[in-house]
Parts: sequence; C-alpha cells; structure tokens
Amino acid sequence: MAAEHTATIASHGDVATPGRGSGISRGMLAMIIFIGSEAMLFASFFAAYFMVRYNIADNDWPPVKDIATGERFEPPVVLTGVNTLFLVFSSFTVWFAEHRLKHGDRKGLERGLLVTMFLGLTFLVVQINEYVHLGFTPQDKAFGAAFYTLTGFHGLHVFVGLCLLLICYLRVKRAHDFTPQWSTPLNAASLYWHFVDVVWVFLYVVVYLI
Amino acid sequence: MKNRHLAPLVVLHLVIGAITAAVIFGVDWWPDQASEQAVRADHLMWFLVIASGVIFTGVTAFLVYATWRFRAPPGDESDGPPSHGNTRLEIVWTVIPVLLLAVIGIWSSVTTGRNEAVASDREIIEVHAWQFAWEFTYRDAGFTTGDLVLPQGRQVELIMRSSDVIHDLWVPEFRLKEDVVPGVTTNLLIDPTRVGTYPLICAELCGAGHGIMRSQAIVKTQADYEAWKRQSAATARAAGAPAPAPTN
Amino acid sequence: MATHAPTHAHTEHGHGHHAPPKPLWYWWKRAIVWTISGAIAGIALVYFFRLVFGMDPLWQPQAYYAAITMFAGMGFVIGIGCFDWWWAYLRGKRVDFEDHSLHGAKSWRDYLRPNTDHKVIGIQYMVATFSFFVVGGLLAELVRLELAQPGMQFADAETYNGYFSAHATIMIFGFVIPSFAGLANYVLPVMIGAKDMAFPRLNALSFWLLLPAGVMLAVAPFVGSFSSGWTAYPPLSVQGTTGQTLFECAVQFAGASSIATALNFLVTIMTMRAPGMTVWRMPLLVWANATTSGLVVFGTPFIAGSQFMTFFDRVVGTNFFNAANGGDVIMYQHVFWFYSHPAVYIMMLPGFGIISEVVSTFARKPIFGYRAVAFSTVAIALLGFGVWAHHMFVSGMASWLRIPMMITTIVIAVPTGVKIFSWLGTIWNGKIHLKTPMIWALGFIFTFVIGGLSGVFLGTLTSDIALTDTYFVVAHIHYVFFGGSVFTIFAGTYYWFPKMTGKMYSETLGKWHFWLTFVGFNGTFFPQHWLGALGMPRRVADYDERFADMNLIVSISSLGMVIGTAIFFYNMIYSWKKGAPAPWNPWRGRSLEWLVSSPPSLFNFDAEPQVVGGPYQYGIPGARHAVVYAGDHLGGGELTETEKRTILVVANRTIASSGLLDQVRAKAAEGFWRFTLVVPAKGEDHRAAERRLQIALAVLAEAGIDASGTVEDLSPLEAVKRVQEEEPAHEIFLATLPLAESAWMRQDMVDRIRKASGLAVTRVTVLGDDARTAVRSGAVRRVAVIANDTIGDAGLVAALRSRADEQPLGVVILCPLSLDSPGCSDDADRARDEATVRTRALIEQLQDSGIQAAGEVVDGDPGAAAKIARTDYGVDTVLVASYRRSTGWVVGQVRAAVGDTAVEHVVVDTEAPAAPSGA
Repeated sequence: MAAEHTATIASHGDVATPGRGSGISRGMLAMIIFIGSEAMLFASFFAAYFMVRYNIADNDWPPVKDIATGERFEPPVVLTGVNTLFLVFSSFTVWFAEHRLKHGDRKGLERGLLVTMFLGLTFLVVQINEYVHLGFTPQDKAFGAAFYTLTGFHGLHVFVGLCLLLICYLRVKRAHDFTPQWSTPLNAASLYWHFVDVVWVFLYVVVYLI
Repeated sequence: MKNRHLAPLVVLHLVIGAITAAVIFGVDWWPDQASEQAVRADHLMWFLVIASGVIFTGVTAFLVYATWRFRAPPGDESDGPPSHGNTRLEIVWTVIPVLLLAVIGIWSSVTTGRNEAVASDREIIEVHAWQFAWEFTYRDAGFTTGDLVLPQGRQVELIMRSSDVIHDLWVPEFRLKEDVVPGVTTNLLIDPTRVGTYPLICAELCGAGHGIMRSQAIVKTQADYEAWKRQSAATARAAGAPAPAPTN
Repeated sequence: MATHAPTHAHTEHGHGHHAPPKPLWYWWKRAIVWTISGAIAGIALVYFFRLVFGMDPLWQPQAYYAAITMFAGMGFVIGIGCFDWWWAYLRGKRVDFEDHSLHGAKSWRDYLRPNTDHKVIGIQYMVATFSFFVVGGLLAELVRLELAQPGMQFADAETYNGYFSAHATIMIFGFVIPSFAGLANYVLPVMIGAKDMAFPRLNALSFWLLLPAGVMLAVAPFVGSFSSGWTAYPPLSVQGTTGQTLFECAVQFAGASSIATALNFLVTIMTMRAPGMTVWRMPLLVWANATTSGLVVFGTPFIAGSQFMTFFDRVVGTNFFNAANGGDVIMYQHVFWFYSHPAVYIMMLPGFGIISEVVSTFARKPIFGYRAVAFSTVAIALLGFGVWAHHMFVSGMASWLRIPMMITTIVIAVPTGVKIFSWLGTIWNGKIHLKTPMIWALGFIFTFVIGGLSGVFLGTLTSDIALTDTYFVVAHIHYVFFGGSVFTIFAGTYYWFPKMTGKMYSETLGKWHFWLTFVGFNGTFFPQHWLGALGMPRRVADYDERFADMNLIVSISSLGMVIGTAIFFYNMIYSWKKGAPAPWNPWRGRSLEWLVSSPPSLFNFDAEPQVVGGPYQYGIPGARHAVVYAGDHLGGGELTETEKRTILVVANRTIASSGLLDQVRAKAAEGFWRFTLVVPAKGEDHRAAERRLQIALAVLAEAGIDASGTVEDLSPLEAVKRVQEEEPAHEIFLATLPLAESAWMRQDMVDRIRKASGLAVTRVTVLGDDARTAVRSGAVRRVAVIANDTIGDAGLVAALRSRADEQPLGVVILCPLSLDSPGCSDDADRARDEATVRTRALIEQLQDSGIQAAGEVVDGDPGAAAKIARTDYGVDTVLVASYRRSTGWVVGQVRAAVGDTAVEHVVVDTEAPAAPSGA
C-alpha cells in the first residue's frame, strides 16, 4: 500500500528525486571525487617541487651535480618521451575497449583491456629501468627528493590503475560482467586510467621538459 | 516589538559591560612598551580588546536576555512564531562587521608599513640560533656576545640564521618576533625606546631545550651602547679571538 | 487503512542464501593473524628491498618500524574482514550486491566486527572517539599537572613535549574529526530519508581504518614519543625517532579513513535524498556535512603529502627540508597548513550544523535566515582554502603574502558572525526549552564568540606578531576547539542519544556535566589570553615565576572539566542500560530522523518518505516537512507526529490493574498512540464495570495519556467489532486473568478477535491479586474504613459505592475488635473469626461493585486501627463508619491517632444511604 502511495505521488511529477537529474551513477561520482582527492595529493608534491625549484634554487635548474665539472642532473627526456607516448596511447586503447563493449563486442573489450594493461606494464618497466640508470638517487639534493617522489607516486598510481583494469578483466572473463547498458566499474577504472595519464603528461612537461 | 525589551536589554548591557570592563581593564594585558613598534601595536590591540569587549557584551546580553525572557512556561508545548528572517537586519549585521574589519585591516597594514620602515642609519646585528642557545654578532665591531644589546632611539636590524631547526626570537616588550629558519636569512626591525633589560625568548618549538632557550635584550642609552661596544670589541681583540665567521 | 494481516518483518532485500553469522572470535582471530603476518611481510619487504639495492645499513630501524606499522595496520583491516566482499568481487566470483549479512546489530557482539549498517558504524565511531577523548584528556591533565607550578614537577622536557604533541594529535584525529563523522553517520542518512549510506562497505572500512591510527598514537609514548607538536615542523620532526614514524603512519590511516567517509557523505547527499528534498529543504546539518566533506576530500591529501615528505627526509635521507642541499624548510609549512587550516573548519562546520538543529528544535522556531546560514557555510569552506598563511606570519615566508592573507582571514569572520547572529535571531521570540542539548548550544555561543574574537587578534598581522606562538594562541584554539567543537559534540550526543539508544539520559546529570565543564573550561582557558600577552610562550614545560599564580588557577580549574566529563560518561553508560524508554520524538523535532522509531528499524524507513516542505516550519499550523508512510506491518497509511493512532484496550475485571496500566504507559511512551478502553460487561454489573473503568481512565489521565473508554453490554468479540466500526484502531491489547481463571481465554478470544479484526492482538496476563489491588497513583484516593458493627450492612456498601462513583477509590477495611481480654482465649478467637468472615464478605462485595478493596481485622481499638491505616496503608482519608451520631468519641480517638490525615464520620443508616457528618 505504501508503494502505491509512492507511485501515485511520483506520477504527479512534482517530487522527482533531487540530485539524479544528470543521471550520473554513484560509482562514477565516487570515482570523480576520489580522483579529485588524488589530484590534490599530486598537487602537494608539485607545490613542493615548485617551491624547491623557484623559491630556493631560483630556477637554477636542474641543479649542479658535480661542482668540479659543472655537470647537472639530467632526467632522460627522450626515452621518457617515448614512454609517455605508450601511456597516452593506452588511454586510447582503454577508450576503445569501452567503445567495443557498447557495441556488444566482448572480444573487442577483452582485447582492448589486455593491450591497455600491456602498455601500462611496459610503461612501468621502462620507468623502473630508468630509475636504475638515472645516475642520481632520491638523496641527491632536493631535486632528487622531488623528482623521485613525483615520479614514484605516479608509478604507484599506474600500478593501482593496472590493478583496477585487471579486476575489470577478471570480472569480464570469469563473471561475464558488464553489459552495453551497465559497465560502471569499467567506466570508473577507465576514468582513473585517464587521470593517471593526464597527471603524467603534466609531470613530463613540468619536470622533464621545462 | 522592541519597546518592552529595550529597558531590560539596556540594563543587561550595562551590567555585563561593567563586568567585562572590570575584567579587561582590571588585569594587565601587556608588558611594558620598549619599542616604537610596541606603541603602535598596543594602540591597535587596545582597540581590538575594547571592540571585543563591546561585541562580547552585546552578544552575551542578548543571549542571557533571550534565554530568560523567551523561556517556554512549563507545560507550554506550542511553537514560536514562524519568522524566517529579516533581510534588513541581516544586511546590517553583515555590513557592520565588514566595516569594522576593514578598519582593522587598514590600520594593521598602515602600522606594518610604519613598523617595518627601514632606516638608512640602522645598526645591524647578526643573530645565530641553535639548539638551545642564542648568539649575537656585532660584525662591524668584531665580537660576539650571548646577550642582545641595543641602542635606545636607533633602529636595529637583526639578521637571523639557524644552524639546525626552526627557532623564533621574541621579546614581549618589543611586541616583535620572527622565526629563525635554517637555510633562510630572516630579518627583524626594532626601534627600541626604553632603557631596560627584557627577556629574549625562543618562541618556536625546537626540542627538549625549547623552554630554557632564553637570553636577554638589553637596551642602553646611545652613549652607553657605544661605550659597551667599544669595550667588548677591545676585549675580543685582546683575547685574540678571530673575527667570527658567517654562520650560513 | 490496511485490512490484511499485519506482518512484522523488515523488508528484506537479500536474495540468495544468508550463511549463519560467524562468531565474534572468528573475526578477531583472523585480524590477529593478519596483523602479525602484515608486520612480518613489512619486515621482509624492507629487508629484501634494502638487500637488492645495496642500501646501508641493512637494519636501519625507522624503515622497518614504518613498514611494520603500515603493513600491520593494513593487515588488521584486512583480517577483521573489511575487504572480504571486494576480494570475492575482484576474483570474478559471483557476489550479491545486496549482501546484508553484515548488516544490523542484535547484540553487543555485532559492534565488535565490521558492520555495514550506518547506525552501528555511528555508534562504533562514538564509542571509539570518546575513548580517544579520554586518552587525549588524560594527556592534557598531565600537561596541566606539570604546569601547575614553575619548575619541573615530574616529567623531563622531552617527555613533556610528547604529552602535548600526543594530546593535540589524538584530540584532532582521534576525537573531533571522527566523532562528527560518527554522529553524522548515524543521523544523516535517516535525516535525508535514505536507507543507509551510498557505500555501506566503504563506510565500515572507514571506521576500521581509524582504530590502527588510534593504536599507533597510543603506543607512541611508550616507544619514544613524537615531540615536535602535532604540527611536526621539520627540521625538528626530522630529528624525531620511532614515535614520529608512528605519528606519520597514524596520520595516513586517519586521513584515509576521513577521506573515505567524506566521499561517502558526498555521494549519499548528492544522490540519495528523499523525493522532494531539494537543497533548500535540507536540514542545515546536511549542508554542514556536505561542505565539510568537500573540505576533507580536497584538503586532507596535503597533510598526507607533508607527512610523506618528512618521513622520506628522516627515513630515506631525502632533502625536502634540508637547507644545506637545496631543501625548503618553509615549504613544509605551506603544504601542511594548506590542509590544516581547512582542517579547523572540518572540525567546526559539522558542529555549526548540529547547533542549527538543536537551537531550532528547542526554541520551536525556524532558523533565522536559513539561506544566509547555508551560504555562509559554503563561504567559510571556500574562503578557508585561502587563509593558510596566517599561521605563518612570522615564519620568514615571502613578506608580500602576509597582508593578502590577513585580508582573507578577517573576511572569514563575516560569515561566521552571520551564523552567530542568525542563531540569536532564532532564539529571539521563541519558546525556549532548556534541555541539556540546548544548554550546551547556548554555552557554545558564549564560548565560541570569545574564541572568534581572539581569532581576530591572531588574524590581524600586527597583533599576531606579538601574540603568535604564545599562550594566547593556546587560549584561542581551545576556545574554538573545546568551547566550539567539543561543546557541539556534547550537544549533538545528548540530542540524538534517545534516537540512537532508545533510552532517555538523565537531565540532572546532563546539567551538572554542563556547569562543571563550563566553569572549569573558562577558568582554565580565559587566563591563558593574559599569560600569552604578558610573555609566556607555548609548548614549554617551565615558565617565569611571575606566571605561577595564573598557571595554578588554570590547572585547578581544569579539574572541573575532568569531573564534568566523568559525570558525562556515567550518564551515558547508565542511561543506555537503565534509562527510561525513549519515544520516537522526545523533542518534537521536525526533521526525518524524528519520524522513525528510537532506534530506527534495520533499514530506517519501511517506505520512502516524501519531503513536502522545509525542515524548520515551526509555528505554521499544518506545515509538513515530510510525509512518512507506515510499513505494512503498522497498517500502512501515513504516520504523523500530530495525529495519534488508536490502540484498543479490551478488559473487564483486569482493567484497573497495575499490570495492564503499566503496559499501556510503556506503549504510550513511544509517543504515537492514544487509547480507547472498552469493558465488555455482557450480563454483568455495569456500574461495577463503570467504576473499574473510571479508575483506569483516572490513572491514565494523571500520566498524561490520551485515553477514553466505554462499558458495553457485549462480549469482547462483539465489543471489538462495534468499536472498530466507529473508530479504527491499529492494534488491540486484550487483558485477561491467567488461563485457568479466564473465561475469555477458554473461549479462545485472542485468536477470534485477531481473525475478526485483522489487527495484531497483544495479550496481557493479569494476576487475580493484581486485578484486585488498587494501583498506586495520585488519581486513586486511598481510603481506610474503620468499622465493626456496620460491616455487613448494605448501607455501608451503598455509602462506599456512592463515594466510588464520585472519585476512584482504593479501599482498606479495618475492623477493630476492641476485645476486653485480647489474646488467645476461645472467646477472642471466635470474635476474631466472625469479624474476619464479615470483613472478607464486605471486601468481596466491594470488589464485585468495582471497588478495589483489601482489609484486615485489627486487635485493638479504633485508634490503633487508624494508626495502622496511616502507617501500613498510607491512606489519604479515614472513614469511621458507625450506626449512631453519638460515637463522636470514637471519631475523636481516631482523629487523635491519625494526626493530619482527613477523617470523616459516615453514619450508616440501614434505611437510607448514609451521609457523611462532616469534619
């Protein structure tokens, strides 16, 4: 009887549930807010980077590594640039996966997810390899601290993104999850992946290029 | 509406105002004024104290009166009148604080400008802070001492450095303090006006010895100050101490 | 109105089987195993990492302590079960999105394991945070004990520094921030008409993340505390050791907990409000929590970042804050305060929301300037991100930043003032009820204004230079944190205590708590304004002799708060166990949480509420905030606080018994019911039934319960049908004598009535003695009748009947024997037996007439009987019944014996009904 009441009043149209106008799902809303929070975490490290670079070092940057030779610290711009392209491309492949799902192509979805994860893993492996060959450590001046913290936290976020994509992949394969109408966890994971990508592009430009 | 409330409210304002005044004027707020900065700061701070007293009196009077006057009689379960607000009143009590705060902000900005106006003939003294002691270097005279000695009537600029953690140099009678930060040179401008000895206190938590990291700020007349400087310099030269090296 | 058989089930959503609930030790055994495994895994991870990268020394302790702390903490959270559902999900297993196996609490055990019910989580938070409050408070008392006199009392300086550092950290991260989360967790979903939070499992995780944080902070003092303040400025904090590591890890756990909760609140408030609840119809608590959640989500990562950096500097050897290697010491302060200033609004805005609720409800008036208060809440939050550097005016930062930051800081005073004035405007011309929550709210206004005014001193650059880093700051922060936040937490706890526990707390103890705390608080913190201005720095274990007296006053005053807090805990615990049952709406509030039971049912609402107006529409007749529908088991239809629903009480012989009347009183306390009493007296003495009914109605009227009744010449079944036609009821109480004595039970009345009416029938068994014994109530006049010869005379019975018709009576018959030779002679025994028989007969007659009577034979004269009447039976009136007027000396004797109890002389005339002879 209560249900009848609800239906009757709802049909009068003046009590539409507020806040659902945009139709955004709760899961996506949660991911958007979460990404906002993570963005602020990166903001705190970028703030540290900017202050160390402009406030203390007066943009004498990168700092001098060896006083005798005047050699400066040098982040590997070219190799990381190629790595950046891998990561950017992986954003397209994950978008492709979502797109194929909308058309009911589950094989396309699986392939897209696999390629994205492969590209992400490649990015991480290359980054770790670079860490080994960088020629400077986190203890090398404030530059090392800021550099490793920014790139390190980013790498952790890539790892988390890979885990989210893997979870989606497992749900697709084992639980036959997601339909063209509903794929919120996948959309959320994909949004997170895009976020990780955007942070990287910003980081690359600010730390490596400029 | 207000007629029957006016008289009791006025009485309450007077009573609470009297108590407030007794409290804020009955206890010493500030130590002696030993600098120009202190004089200017005290003007502003007394204004703040009195303004605070007035606002506190008003809020408390209304609070006390309303709680007593509008108490529901026992057994009265009815509601109050459904008034949702009064736009004019809301504007008034938004605008008045804005004006008051604008006055305070401008006053403080002007005071800051005056307090930090650099005199070209200022005396420069270097300060070195570490866990847990102070050291003052009079570079032109070439000696170092554990007390900060200052000339009355002449501006002093302190150039401050720390070799370990953050400290803070504070003399309450000057109404001045500034952090002493490793890696950064900080400054403090003082215009001493009164001869005397005042505590010089570390005001930033710096470890176990923070509470005992103290020294003295001694203001002497200009003649005494010059004499003291000459004598200390002579003592330092006689002791053969090399001129103290910069600490940064 | 429903006519189908009611069901008492909650609407269960779960499809699929529910496994039998696991015992408590299962979860804790897992938790312990995982915690230890986590610690070992942490050690192993750091060991291999350092080995592989050739780091030296291999056993650098802080790296291991950090790893142990973080991994053990995560292990605990995993082991206690927070991730179980997600683990099944991510492995691709079949999962039930509506799995409610961890939902709701039936016993205390359900509170000690993960639970997805926001009401359980709310209580878990409140118990945990108040425990942290005690720890933080004890640390504060250690500080005050040390500072009671100049010189070092019992602690060395380093230990002392640990005391205040831990005090602040535990109070901020372990008490204030999470207790607002806890109160809102319980109340907010109900207030917006939702069944739970948007993400109940995440909600559970938030709580369990807080516990390791609290443990870390509590353990820290024992492993070499953290002593650089809760602000942990480097380079000092980089000099710290294990305690500092624990602090950094605790902040991460507490921060994650806080962010997860805030995220939950934001999604819940944005998407789960009941139909019709536009943002302008939200209670101000919802506005406050939404804004606060935004602050938490965007601000907290900055403190996480700052603690990561100090950790790296200390444990990994980075140079963020090492000036010698290009580090920027002041940068820490920028990053730290960018969160920590909004943090103070995180600690205040929910409190403002609580005060709005309390003030409106207890002044019975709408919030003055609702929109202004809502806008000012948002304004404070947004502006709050632009003022952080007012903590750094003397830090040596870029001097050009100081004046803009001063301007933004003093601007924030404006919306804050708007709120205070709005609350005063709400109280003005209201109908104020000074219950404990309201007293705390009014006290809050007093103390918070002082705190706000001292804030202006600190926001103004010139005065800040003089006053920062002194006790003036300590005064300010405690006026706004304790006189502000904590006062509002107390107000909210008392306000929603009946809703959360279903019990009422003690008002008297609540008031003692307030006054002791209020006086103690002001005595503790007001003098600190002067201490700071006169020259006492903060964070010192010792001070100048000239501050000794003031410090002693401060320390002694702090004991007031200690005692007050102890009273609070006693009140909460005792009332929770033994308090009076709480009605649905003890404060006659209007927001949705007051329109459900105390405590609410498992999913809060049996059907979705419809919001049709604002939440503060006091004083507007007929105004409604929401329409709530009763569940099917309550008969469907609408449930309102002003239209009570009827419970039909069917009883005859038992109508005036304490057993039945107590049950009615208990039901009435729920607040939603009125009662119709029906006495089915088919074929019986109606006048007797009428008298019994009047007793019951008088007792109920005296208790303030809305009740009416009739005597019907019908059987119970017929009576029920007749009354139902005129006035539908929603439940029936059927009171009968025990099975063996009850004719109705032999006729199977309970089931027959149930079938015929379609309503729930509650059977109340009343013992015969109970039915015959007068209820102790101010409404029932207790009368002693001293009579001998007149016992057995119809005139006496008639006299008593006519008195009973005027007023409900409870009668005691006392027959004084006045034997010449009392004792055990045969004559005496015979006299006694005969009197007993007559007395018993009279009592039976009276009972049959509907008068509850008892009595005895007394060995003694009328005076002695009168004394017994007064002392043993506590009667209001003594009637002396005799045949002739000239027994005045008997009356005189009785009067002498009873002192000031009223005595009347009833002359029994066998022919005519007796008239009282007057006093």
